[in-house]
Amino acid sequence: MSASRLVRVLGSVVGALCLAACGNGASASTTTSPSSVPADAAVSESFSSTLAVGGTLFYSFSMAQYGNVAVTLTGVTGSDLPDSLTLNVGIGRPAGTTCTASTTVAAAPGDAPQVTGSYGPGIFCVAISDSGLLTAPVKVDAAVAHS
Amino acid sequence: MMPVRHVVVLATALAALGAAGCGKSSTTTSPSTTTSGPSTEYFDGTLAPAASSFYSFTVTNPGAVSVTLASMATAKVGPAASARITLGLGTPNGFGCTVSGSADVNPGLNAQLSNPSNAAGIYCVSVADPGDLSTDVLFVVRIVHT
Repeated sequence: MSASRLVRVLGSVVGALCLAACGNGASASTTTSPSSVPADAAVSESFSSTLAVGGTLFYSFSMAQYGNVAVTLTGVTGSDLPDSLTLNVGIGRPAGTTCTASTTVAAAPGDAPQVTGSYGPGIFCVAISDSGLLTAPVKVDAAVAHS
Repeated sequence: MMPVRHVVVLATALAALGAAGCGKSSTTTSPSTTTSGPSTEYFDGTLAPAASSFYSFTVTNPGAVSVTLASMATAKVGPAASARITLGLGTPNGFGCTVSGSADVNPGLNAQLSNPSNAAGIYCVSVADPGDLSTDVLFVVRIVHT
């Protein structure tokens, strides 16, 4: 074998070895994405409190894992309730002296969840506030289902 | 015709280049962790006799949390109140703050509550009347966290 041919052969062998090694390195650095499937809501917490005119109340809950959250405004009782009463209901995180909601809807009391989403893990909160329709304090009943 | 000695030198150089290249491409670098200095938040308000209040904050990076009742007075201008209040550190839960540590304290310059190793997450500081208050007091609590 001539020297120049030997150089070409050696170069090819080294190149092939490098590609193989680099290929292994690439596969070793492959990352897997975290599961994006939210866990079912397995815990349900009910709460009630008095909501003042123009006021806001919030309730904090802890989620051990990423999962579904469903909030239901189950009842509003009081005197002089306006027709078609809705309250603002939201899901968010406790911050300062309140709950900073990332999702809020105007909800009338009912049996089906009015606000849903996927959150966690961590500490979250349900915020319920007067949408401007209250003329007197009311008792609010609600429930939050979460993982 | 290339001398055999030159061939050996070239082969060695190629092998070294290949190894260096492979080594470089397979080197993994850890994600950079940006650490910033501690954050300071102030929780102020009015505490009535027999009442309590709490304030939530987020620890972004694991680290120490210190809580100081910095001032307490019955008016914005006037002497400091001599009563003690209960300072607590915990996590928001339900309508309140479930404290894991607390102390009855007077205002001071040094932290009255601290935890050297809080994990990232949401925590809360609570203030409550232990039974000492006879009138409303204005308070300021300093929270330093990572």
